[in-house]
Amino acid sequence: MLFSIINLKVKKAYLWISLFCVSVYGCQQVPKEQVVVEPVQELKAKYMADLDQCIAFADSLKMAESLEDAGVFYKEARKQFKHIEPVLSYIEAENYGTLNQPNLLKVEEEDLTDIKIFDPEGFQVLEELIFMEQAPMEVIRNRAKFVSLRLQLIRKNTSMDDLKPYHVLWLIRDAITRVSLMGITGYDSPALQQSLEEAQYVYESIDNYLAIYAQQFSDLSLLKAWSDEMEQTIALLASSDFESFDRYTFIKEHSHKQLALWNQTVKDWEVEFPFTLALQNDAPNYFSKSTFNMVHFAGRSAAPMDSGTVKLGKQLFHDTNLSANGKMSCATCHQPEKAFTDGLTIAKGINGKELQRNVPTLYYAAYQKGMFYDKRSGNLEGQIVEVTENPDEFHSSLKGMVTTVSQTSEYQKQFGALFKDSVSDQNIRKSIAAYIRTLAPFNSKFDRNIRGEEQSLTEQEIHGFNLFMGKAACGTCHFAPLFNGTLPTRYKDSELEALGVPETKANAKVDDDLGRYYFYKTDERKHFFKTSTVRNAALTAPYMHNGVYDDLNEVMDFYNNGGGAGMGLDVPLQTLPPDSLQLNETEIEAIIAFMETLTDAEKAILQDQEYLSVN
Amino acid sequence: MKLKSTFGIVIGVMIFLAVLGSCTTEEITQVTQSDTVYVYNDTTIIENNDTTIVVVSSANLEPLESSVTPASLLKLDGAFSSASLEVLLSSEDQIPGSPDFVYGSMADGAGLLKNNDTSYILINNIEADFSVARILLDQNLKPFYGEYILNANASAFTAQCSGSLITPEEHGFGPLYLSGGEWGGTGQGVYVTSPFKSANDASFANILTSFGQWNVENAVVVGKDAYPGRTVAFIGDDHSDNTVPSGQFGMYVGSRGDLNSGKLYGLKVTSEGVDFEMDMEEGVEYDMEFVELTERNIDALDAEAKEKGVIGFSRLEDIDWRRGSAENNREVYFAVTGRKKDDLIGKGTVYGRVYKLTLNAEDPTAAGKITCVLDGDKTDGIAKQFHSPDNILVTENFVYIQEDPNGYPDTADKTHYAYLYQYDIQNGTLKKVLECDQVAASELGYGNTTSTWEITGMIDVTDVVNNGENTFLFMTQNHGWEVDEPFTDPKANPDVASSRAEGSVLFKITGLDR
Repeated sequence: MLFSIINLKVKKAYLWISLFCVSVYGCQQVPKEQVVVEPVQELKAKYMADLDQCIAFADSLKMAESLEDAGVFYKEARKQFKHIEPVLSYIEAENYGTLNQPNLLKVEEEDLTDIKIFDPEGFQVLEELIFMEQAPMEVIRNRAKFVSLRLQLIRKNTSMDDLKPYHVLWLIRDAITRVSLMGITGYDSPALQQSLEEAQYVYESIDNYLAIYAQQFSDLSLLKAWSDEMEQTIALLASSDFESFDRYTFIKEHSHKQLALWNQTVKDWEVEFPFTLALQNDAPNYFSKSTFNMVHFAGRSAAPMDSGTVKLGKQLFHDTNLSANGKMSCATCHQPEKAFTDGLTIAKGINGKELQRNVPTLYYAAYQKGMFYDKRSGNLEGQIVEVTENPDEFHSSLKGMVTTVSQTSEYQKQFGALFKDSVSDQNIRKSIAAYIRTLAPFNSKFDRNIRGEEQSLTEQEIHGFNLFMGKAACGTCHFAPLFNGTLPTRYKDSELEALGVPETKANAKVDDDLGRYYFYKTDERKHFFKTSTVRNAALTAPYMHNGVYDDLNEVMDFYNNGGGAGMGLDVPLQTLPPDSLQLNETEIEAIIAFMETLTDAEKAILQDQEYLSVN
Repeated sequence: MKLKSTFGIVIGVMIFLAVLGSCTTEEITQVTQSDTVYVYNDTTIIENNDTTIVVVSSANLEPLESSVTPASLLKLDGAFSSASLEVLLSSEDQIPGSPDFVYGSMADGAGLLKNNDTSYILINNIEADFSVARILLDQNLKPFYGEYILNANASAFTAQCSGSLITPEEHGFGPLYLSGGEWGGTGQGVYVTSPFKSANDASFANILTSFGQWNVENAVVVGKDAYPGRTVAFIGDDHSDNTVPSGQFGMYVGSRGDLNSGKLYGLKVTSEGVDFEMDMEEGVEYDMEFVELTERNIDALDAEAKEKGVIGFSRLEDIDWRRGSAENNREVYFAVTGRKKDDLIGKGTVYGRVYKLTLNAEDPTAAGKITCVLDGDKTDGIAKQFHSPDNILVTENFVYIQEDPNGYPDTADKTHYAYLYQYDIQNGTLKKVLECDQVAASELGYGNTTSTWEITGMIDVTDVVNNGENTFLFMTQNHGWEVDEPFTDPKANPDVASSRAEGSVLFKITGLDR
């Protein structure tokens, strides 16, 4: 009953807003006879109308008197928020991030004297307050006020004058990507798990926007193909439930199909992109070598990944002369046959001394913003400095490294040919980093299957992926396709999490490694570690920053029990919900079977030569 | 039933929005965007329909004769012992004329205007309370009234960092106040506020969307003589990056008084061999020019700038231009605070630098020169004491540089609390004017010796005050100075309980050279 009243009223309100939008345009000093509504103006009108509704419902939420009302208004505001999401997340990227942030304490560590800690705000906070915590109305109203104010500030300062067709295409693809890689995992609907419903609102908007740009299509059958695809996708989402939703088929049959349509549209519109952001402008799908723009991750000062530089980098990577005692190279810890780990619980440094943490794989390491488990280095080139200077690792210096390399005439020749300033510490680091960046072949069984190149996945493996991306919530932190913590769609940040990993398998005490805390001494970052990739996990045992778990079964048990906090350990700021995932043994086995499909090459091949992907 | 009544509110709000959005000011013929403050000529403000011109009277309001806070929080260097320091207002003061006003946390950018009578209007960002204060000062610069003209609700909790005032006398249009919206998770743009805005006005802040989305530290409009008929504004991008220095120097160029429909540019160094800021040596002049940027979204603008070879600095902070002749005005100085990360060594400054731009005399975007005049990374150089220069003020003959230490005092020279420096443009000498004396201050109960303060917001108000004495104002952000009651004005930041709570101090200093 409640809902039918609302729908009726909303329609009226919508009409009223539509009229109002027309009046806004009427105000501009455009002579009447020249009024030709450009698509971008129509897009703006649609966006603003949805935004107004979102504000109106946020305002109602701000004044709601009961949890029941609050719930109704929240859902309506959220629906409109998802309607505006494709545009908002592009033209107001930072504001969008604020309004859709997870309900976790936000810590911004700029430098030692500039550390800001914020209470979270936005929709996810409201969703948990209303539907999970049943918080006092005053608290809910206050948080709703923030959302309303921020939306109104955005509304007042919206300009879409500079939005060109290629921007519209970019924002449509971002919307598709966001649903595909994050939305379907329940990432931003923690309490209601209404992500499938929310995805429908996003697709409704995409459908609307493409219709607004109808005149841009030279091939109208392409527009028709879009609208058919949108219709089918929405129908599929509407008829699915969160737990049993087949995410594998969704990505393979719909997200990838949408990318294909998008690529056709780029050609059809004759759009040229002036530059490339995180995703390649012609990315064919989400799971291939040509999906990502390496420059986005490596920065413009990185060395090119040509075969000469990569070969040189590989030589340096294996060269023990870079360490002071001549016995340790990068490959001492990062052994190709073990997917660039060492199989030890804790790494061993120079003279066999035990280091601080477990060795992370180098596969896909390039696709992270921040290196080491605590992200103390910004990039691979910086990470190499730390290893070189660490008295327990290479125990050398940048100067020492240059001296050593310069002594070899073969190196001299190679550097001379590749770099205009020959051997320098920067060039040594650039070469090694270029090599590491090639360690991302996207050639696992899973990649080949989801790209449609083969049909070899078992039902169990597919089921495992669906659990990983759904019920087990792994995919809400290990984001596909990289399965690490680098956040789609902007790929500007790699997340740190507090899981409460125990000291020993007895799960009796939280490990005493304070992780990120050591770097800036921010209390709120105690026990925070970077989210690692799950790719090649079958080869990288033991697991976690301290190597506490020997196999993936133990890892799964840890998560299934709600991490440290779920097992009764004291983890005040745990970012993982402490509740059990309620996974049964069959489900755990399926998830592990899926993770094993993320292995890039068989051990035999690795032992022979590491798998390179040179562009 | 209850639901129905709430729905009345929904419709009510929509009507309100509709009214808000409708145009009522028929006279605004040149407005390109119907919703922003617009300046018609040198003296008239044509306000949008939610801005009110406020006439303030000092009659019957009692000023704060002296602050409770001692000026000895700062220690003048011996060479400047003839200068005189005075605290005008601090967070612990109560202005008799407006006893409820609290000078909030992290006071930052500011501008001073002469009022119609003998009083003055100080516009001052209160960064950590996400607000802008208007403080009225009497003829002796004693505060007699304080209020907030942009509060946290209007800024939607966006920190307002550095600020700059545009006045008809100096810029040929205005008065308008620009501030950089830097943190707080919002669109990170340039905010514009009328200094006469009503404090009762609950409207939302205006953002200059044509200035683009950067991590804006500050936006500064150059003096009116530099480029007659034009508005040229510089934008400091406090973007930090651990791989490539990414703080860009942006520039907006429009016709005089137009802040909406101009074009956006980024600074590019064209001399051979300069890929990074550290490829430029102290004291050497390099060629530069500006390239047009058409993107506005924060990621796309950054990518476009990099694609077009716009140079990046390790966190570009405050910008100012030299006073005096038109030629002087085209000489622009900016501070780069620095960043310490392994792979930034050799690319971006660690301890901070000050650069000088000599802009093209005819066309602000055409070929000009760039020189690093002070390099804090040269540990035996004249700026060897630099530890994160942040804010900058340029007079006719001097550059005043204020520090906000980033927390890595790696040499004895750099082991100090925040300094205020004076750089002599003619002679190229650098002197310390004063230091935050946090040892003495902590003994007096002001903060501690570990949370280092920032000196900021320095402005030269000599011409405004015009009493024959060289007069400057500046602020300190006294990190760690907290008392039981938070130094937070609920009218600025309604969220007092989770506010920053710490105090700030507004200083006057006289007797410094211009």
